[in-house]
Amino acid sequence: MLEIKDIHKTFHLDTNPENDKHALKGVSLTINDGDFISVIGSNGSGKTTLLNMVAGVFEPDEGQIILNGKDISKLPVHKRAKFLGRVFQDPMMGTIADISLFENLSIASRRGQKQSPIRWALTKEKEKEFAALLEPLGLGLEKRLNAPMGTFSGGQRQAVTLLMASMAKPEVLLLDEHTAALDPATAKKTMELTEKIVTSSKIPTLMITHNMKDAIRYGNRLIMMDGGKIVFEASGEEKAKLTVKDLLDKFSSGEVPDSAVLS
Amino acid sequence: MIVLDALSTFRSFAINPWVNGLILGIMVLGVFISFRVLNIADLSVEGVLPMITMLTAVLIGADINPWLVILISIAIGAICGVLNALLTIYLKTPPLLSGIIVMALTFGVAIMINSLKSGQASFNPNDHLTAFNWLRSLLAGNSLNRDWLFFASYLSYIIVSAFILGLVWAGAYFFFGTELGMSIRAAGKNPAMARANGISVNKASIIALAISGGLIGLASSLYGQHNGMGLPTDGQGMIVIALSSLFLGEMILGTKSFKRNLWATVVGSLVYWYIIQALMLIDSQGYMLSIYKALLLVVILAAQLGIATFKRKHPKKPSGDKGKEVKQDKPVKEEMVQSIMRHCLGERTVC
Repeated sequence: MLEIKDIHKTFHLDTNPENDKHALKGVSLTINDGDFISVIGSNGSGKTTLLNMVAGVFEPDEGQIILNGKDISKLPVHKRAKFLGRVFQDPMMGTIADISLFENLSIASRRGQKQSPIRWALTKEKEKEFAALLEPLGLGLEKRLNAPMGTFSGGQRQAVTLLMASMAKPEVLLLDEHTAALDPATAKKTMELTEKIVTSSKIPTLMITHNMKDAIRYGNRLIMMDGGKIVFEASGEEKAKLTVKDLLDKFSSGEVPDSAVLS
Repeated sequence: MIVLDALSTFRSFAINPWVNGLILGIMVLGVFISFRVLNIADLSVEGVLPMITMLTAVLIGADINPWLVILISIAIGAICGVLNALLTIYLKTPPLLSGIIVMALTFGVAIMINSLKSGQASFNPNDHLTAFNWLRSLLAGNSLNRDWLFFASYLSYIIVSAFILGLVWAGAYFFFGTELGMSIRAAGKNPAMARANGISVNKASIIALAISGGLIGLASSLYGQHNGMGLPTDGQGMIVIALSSLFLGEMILGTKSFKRNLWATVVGSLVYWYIIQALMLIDSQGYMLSIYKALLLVVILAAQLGIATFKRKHPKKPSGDKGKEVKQDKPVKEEMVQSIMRHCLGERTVC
């Protein structure tokens, strides 16, 4: 269980306080076991800042991030990685192009554990283990373990990153608009794969998306952010009944400012 | 007379490039680790090398065991590497600047040693034990044949430096294949990905620069023991030599695997010194050598670009099953362009 408690964050762009960007204004959110939360909101609404805050890229000015009763707000990114799996928006970011798929996976398989200076990173057992993990993706990647990552397409790279983020069983999976840079067909496939991985592994997931349909269709909770705050939340039955029109109406009825929809 | 000239030319071709190529090949490996593995331009070798050649000359002259001198040199080189990494981590200086600071600092030490020794940081290899001359004595035995003595001394340079380079190469190959080595390579290639996978990029850069510095220290000590002296100018142009060797090796062997990258440092270094030896035919006094070295680097870079352009314009035609596989992979850029176009054409699900 991950608790985000009243987080504030201000970015000081320069010495002039008028130019300060108050990116998060008291956000509280609890990610329970089994949750698959999708977060929507316009650019600048603070959703990516929130995710980066959980991942440890920024330290909160105020508030705490508590994972299973332990305060992790001050831990650097690489120490939090033990508990968190992360998929980036840019398909290039999550994997290393110059080294093979096998090598990429071997790095991810040791996430959060000590990296031994004497144990080989690539072994026959690992090769079998990875092939068995890749096969269910249905992309034929298990036959190309030794190909450099750079020869794979964006969709394939995101699929691999998803697998890498989830293979060491993190406490929470963070998805940062991970289908935004893909074409619609590949994005759809990647979303289906995401759901498959999240539901089969039961890893609590926080997903940022620009796509309202995806936000409604996938996951059990939906959160809308604007101006550094959570402005709307729906879960379970209520969320299942939502339509894109409902969400748009939320904006136009003044419940949520227009800026949230004009992304 | 002409016969003798040809003979000495042949002799220098058979020997000099190997001695320089093998000893400085260790340095190229060190520079490879900072430049390619960690992806930072570390110029500190220009200062670290003369500092250690001079220190080595002083210590060997004081009859310190040469292997101990080598260990001390490795330790000092590693400390310089760690200092370089710490400057970047704690003072947030750009890596290039950290390297320049370490270079200036170590060069200062070299100048200091030079002044304390009144420019005489040297020793006579016949009077003091070095990492090489024990083997020469072993090979030469009691022979008084001058040619054989001469040959034995060069053979000892080549055997000892080849042995050490082999050890270092195997060590680097093993280390960068382990989990820790792999994580260091990841930290250099993609820091964001490395952090997301629990790798401390700071720790990785400290370890990698320590190894790089240690190798530079080792190479410098061997260089000093080979030369029988140390000068503050020893480091001049070393980064040009190291990068030229590295690029040359990569051009010959390609960069398909890490093993090839490692081989490239050794092969590049040997080929480089053969080219330099050939250039010395037209410039026997070596007045122009530094200029040639700089121009050679330019030629290598131009050739690199030329090869890359040629490969792009004439891609290898895929054949058989492999071709099918390649066809499936749409380049990511193209995919992104398509997605942006669809986005602009209004196929987007929202709005």
